[in-house]
Formats: sequence, structure tokens, C-alpha cells
Amino acid sequence: MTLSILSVLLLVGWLFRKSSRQEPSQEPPREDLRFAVRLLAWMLWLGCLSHAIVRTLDGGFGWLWLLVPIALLFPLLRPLFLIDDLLVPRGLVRLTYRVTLVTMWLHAERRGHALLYAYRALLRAPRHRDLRGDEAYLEERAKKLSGGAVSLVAAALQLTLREGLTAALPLVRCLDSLDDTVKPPWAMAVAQELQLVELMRLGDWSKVRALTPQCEASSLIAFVDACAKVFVPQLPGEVDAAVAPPSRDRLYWLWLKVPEKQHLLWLLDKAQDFKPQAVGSVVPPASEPQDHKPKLDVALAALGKLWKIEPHLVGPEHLRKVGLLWDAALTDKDTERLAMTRALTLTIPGSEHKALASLRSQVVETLRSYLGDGQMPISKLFPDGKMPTQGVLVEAVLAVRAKLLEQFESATTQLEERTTDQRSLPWLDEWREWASIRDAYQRIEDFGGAEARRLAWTSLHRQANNWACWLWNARSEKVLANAVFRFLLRESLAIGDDRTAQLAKKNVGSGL
Amino acid sequence: MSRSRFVENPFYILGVRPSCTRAEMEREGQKLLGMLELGLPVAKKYKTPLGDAERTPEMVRQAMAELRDPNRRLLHELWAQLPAEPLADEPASEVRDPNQIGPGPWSDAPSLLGLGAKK
Repeated sequence: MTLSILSVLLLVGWLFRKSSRQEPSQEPPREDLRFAVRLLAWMLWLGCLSHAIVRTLDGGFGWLWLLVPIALLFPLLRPLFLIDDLLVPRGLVRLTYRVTLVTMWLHAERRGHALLYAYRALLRAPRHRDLRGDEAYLEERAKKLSGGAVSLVAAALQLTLREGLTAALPLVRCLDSLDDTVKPPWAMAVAQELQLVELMRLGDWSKVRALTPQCEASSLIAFVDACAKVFVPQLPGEVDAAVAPPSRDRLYWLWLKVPEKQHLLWLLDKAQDFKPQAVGSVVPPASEPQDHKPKLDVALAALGKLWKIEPHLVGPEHLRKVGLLWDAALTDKDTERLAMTRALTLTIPGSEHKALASLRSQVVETLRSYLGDGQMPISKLFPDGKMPTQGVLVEAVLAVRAKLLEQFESATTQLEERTTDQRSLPWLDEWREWASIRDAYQRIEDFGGAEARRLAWTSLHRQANNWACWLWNARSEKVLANAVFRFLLRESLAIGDDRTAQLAKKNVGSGL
Repeated sequence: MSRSRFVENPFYILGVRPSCTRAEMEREGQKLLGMLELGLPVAKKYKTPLGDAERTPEMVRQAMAELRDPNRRLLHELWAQLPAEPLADEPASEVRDPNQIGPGPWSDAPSLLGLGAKK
């Protein structure tokens, strides 16, 4: 009876499997074997259960047999339970690697899986007996990988371990231009988790909200997504109506399901107690009635108030206001008259122009210091989308943009010189250099918008293309070269540069 | 962030107005040096638009030297147009970035979620 049921189940399962295939030719050959093994395990479990039921019905201590199928049920339902819930949280690096290799012996990329799990174990280890030994062990294993996304994510985890998550993120961001054939979803899930944690660190919940739907489903992602929906019910530019935020109970339920939930209690509290602030409800700095005051005094007072604010709390509206007041003060006749009178009193007639020019450049320098390395985009400083032709804030913005472009050009020139001299770097260093160039390019775009992006593009395309061709032809670093070509293609299409797009298309077409 | 334009302005250090004469400036400077030499507490602090600051004999000497040069003095005068009274603070609601949504940065996130660096 049991055997007949199992045979029917086997047949139905096999037929279902065959019919569900869309493109049998593209299915990896190991898939069939994996499915068969899984089916066999369930058949054995059913046999075991039947036997246990029969022995239970016999009476006496026969019910003890039921413990066997109960114990086997959990690993069958969650084959990676041992790794996920026991080995990784305890930081057992080498054991995690070996057990993953055995557990995933049918998986074509079991080494990659094992390496990423082992790195997670290394990062999570509550204490280390031999940190350097474990690192060296994993580095040796990483060399056996083919060099696709898995290698890159493993390198990012290694960097996270050594230098922190912020240092690893530029590398992770490069994954988007990798060819799909070397970008398995499970490796990308780890990369997305790294990005998500960094965004939470920065408190950028809009980006967290945008990223979570693309992530692999997990209890942690579900909880973070729910929190993001509380903080950001509607994304900027989203046309659909705002999503109803999850209730307090729902948040609590999702939090309960997360492993190591004690670490997320802070986030749960913040989400449960969060009071939404309507967008645009922030009152712009009130202007005092200052018509009777000299414009220079008003501008000085505005700058003084700016200095009294913590630098990280200074917003674009503050800088805009100060810029406008200084533009008014520096072109004011009273200011000129004051400078001229004082110059005459000090017996240095004619030097008022030099003094006013110095004052202007010092104000520009002050505003530039608030713009930092381009953290405050031009689009926020000039919300109407049009940068004025003159003004102290405009001068500060142009100075920052020029500095960013100069640094970028210097980086791409170094890349070009290295290509010309054929000075090669190790695999990971080549990737890191490319990641830093991409990061600088992105920073220019974020700061200066399309115009700055176009300016940066002129000093990127030729240098990066020549470097990638060298990587492809002379060094066989085909995954990296292909990623560079793909990025160049994407950019040339976005910018509308047909000539470079044709070349990039041809290079991408060369494959891996 | 160039707060020194106010805090280290020679006119505020010496406690004189920009319109003072050179003789007034010299007299005030010498007086302050004497008071500082005697350790009088009233001379140890001076007022600026950004609040009180510590005064030292070295700062007084440097301020006097700066103001002896008419070209430098003219620029310092322009920066010292405000009276040496603390400016009112900006209201807290005005300094919030409207694009900052949510509970703000969570610096412990990487270490708590198993992605912290191991020093």
C-alpha cells in the first residue's frame, strides 16, 4: 500500500517537474539529480513515518519511533538550518565552509555558496580564536572561484571585515554592470543586504524603501521593508497613492520572526512610535523685518547664524538664503560707500575694491566649505532647476564642481598612464580602482546633474575603454573588462553619445 | 567653517568699534595687555556675535599688529560691522532637512546585523 502511494507520488512529481520546465535545454543537468534526491529523501521520510505509525499502533514503547520522522522533518523542510541558525551565528568559519560544501554537494556553485556563508560566519563570530588563520583559509578558497559576482561579493565581505562596510560598498555597486551569466541571484542577495545595512546606517530610508522590493524575501527583509513603509509611505516621484503603513501589531509580529531580534529592538521602537511629518511642512527660515538695517549687517548676521548651526544640520535653504543676502550686500551702494569712506579715512584711497573682492572670496570660501565634497546637490540648492549666472553661492558651487572634476580627471589620467605602461595590479585592486572611479563619477553626477555628468564623461570614456581593452586582450580579465564595457555602453546611451555607444556595443558583444 | 572671521576678528578681541582711531586701538590694546598681566578676570573674555571667547596676551598683540596695517584693517572692519552681542539662534524647526525622513542614521546597524569590521 505504502509503496504504491509512493510510486504514484514519484510519478506525479516527475511529470509535474517535466511539465513545469519552460526551456529544457537551458536547465542545468544537476537540477534533475537534485530534484530526484529531494524526492528520495521525502519518500524515505514517508516510509519512516509509516513504519513509526505501525510500531506505535503495536503498543509499548513503539511510539518512540515517532521521534525519528519528527527529528528528520526539520532538516527536510529547511536543509540549511544547521548552517544558517547554528554554524554562522557561532562564527565557526571552517566548519561552515565544509558543511556547506557537503550540504550543497549537488549545487554547481557550491564553493561560492560555502565561501559566502563562511565569510558571514567570520563577520558574525562573537569572538575569534584565530581571525588571521580563518581569513587566510578563506582567501585560499576564494582563489578557486571563477571571478564573477561571487568572487566580488566575497571580496566585499573581506573588505567589510577589514575596513568596514563603507569601504566595501563601492565594490558592491559595481555588480550592477556584470553580465547576468556571472551574477547568480543568491550572491546578489548578499550584495543587496550589504547595501541595505549601509543605507540603514546612513538613515536613508527612502532608498531602503526603494531597495527592499528587489531583495530576496527573508524575515529580516520583511521587517525592514515594513519599517521603511512606516517612515516613507510614498517614495518621491511615485505616482501611486501612498502605501498604508503597517500597524504596530504587524510590526511586532514581523519583528518576532526575525532571527537575533534583540538587535532590532531599536528599529522596532522607532517604527512603532514614528509620527509622520508631512513633506513640505518645514517652515523656511523666517526673515526678520530688517529693511532699516544695512544690507551688509543683515548678511553678516545671516552668516553668523549659519555658523551657530551644527554643520551637518545646515540645509540647502540656509545656504540659499545666506547667498542671496550676501549678493545683495556686496552689490549694495551703502556697502561700497562704507568701504570707500573707511579707505579714505585710513588713507588708502582706491583699496576699497580690493577689500570688497577679498570679502567676497572669503564668503565664497565659507559657502564652499559647507558644500563639502558635493554632498549637497545643485538641484537642492537651486530647486527651480536653473543655476543663476552669478552670485556667491554659484561661485562656491562651481568651485566644488571644478574640484570634483579635477580629482576625477586625475584618477582617470592615472588609469591611462598605467594602461600605457602596462602596469598590472592584482585582480581585487583592479576592481577597487574601477569602483573608486565609478564612485567619483557618480558623486559628480549626484552633485552637478546631467551637465556635470557630461563633463566627467569626456575624461572617462577613452581612458576606461583603453584600460578595459587591455584587460581583455592582454590579461584575460574578461569579467571586469565586460563590466566596464557594459557601464560605458549604459552611460553613452544615457548621455546620447552615438559614436561611443557603437564602440561599446561592439565591445560588449565580444562576450565573456 | 571660518567662524574665525568673527571669533578672531581683531576688533572683537580688542573690544573696539571699527570706526575707532589708531590711537584708541593702541590704548585699548595696551590696557588689555596690562589687565591680562595682572590676571584680571574681566580681561580674560571678550564678546563676539558667536558668543564669548577666551582672550590671551598673544591674541591681543596679534590683533594690534593686524590693525596697524590699513589694508588688512579695512577688511577686518567690514567683517566687524555687527555689534559684539551674541546673535539669536535659529529656531530648531528651521534647521531640519525636509529630505531627511525616518529615525535618522543608525550607526550601530552594521555591527548589530553581523557586518561590522573586526579591528
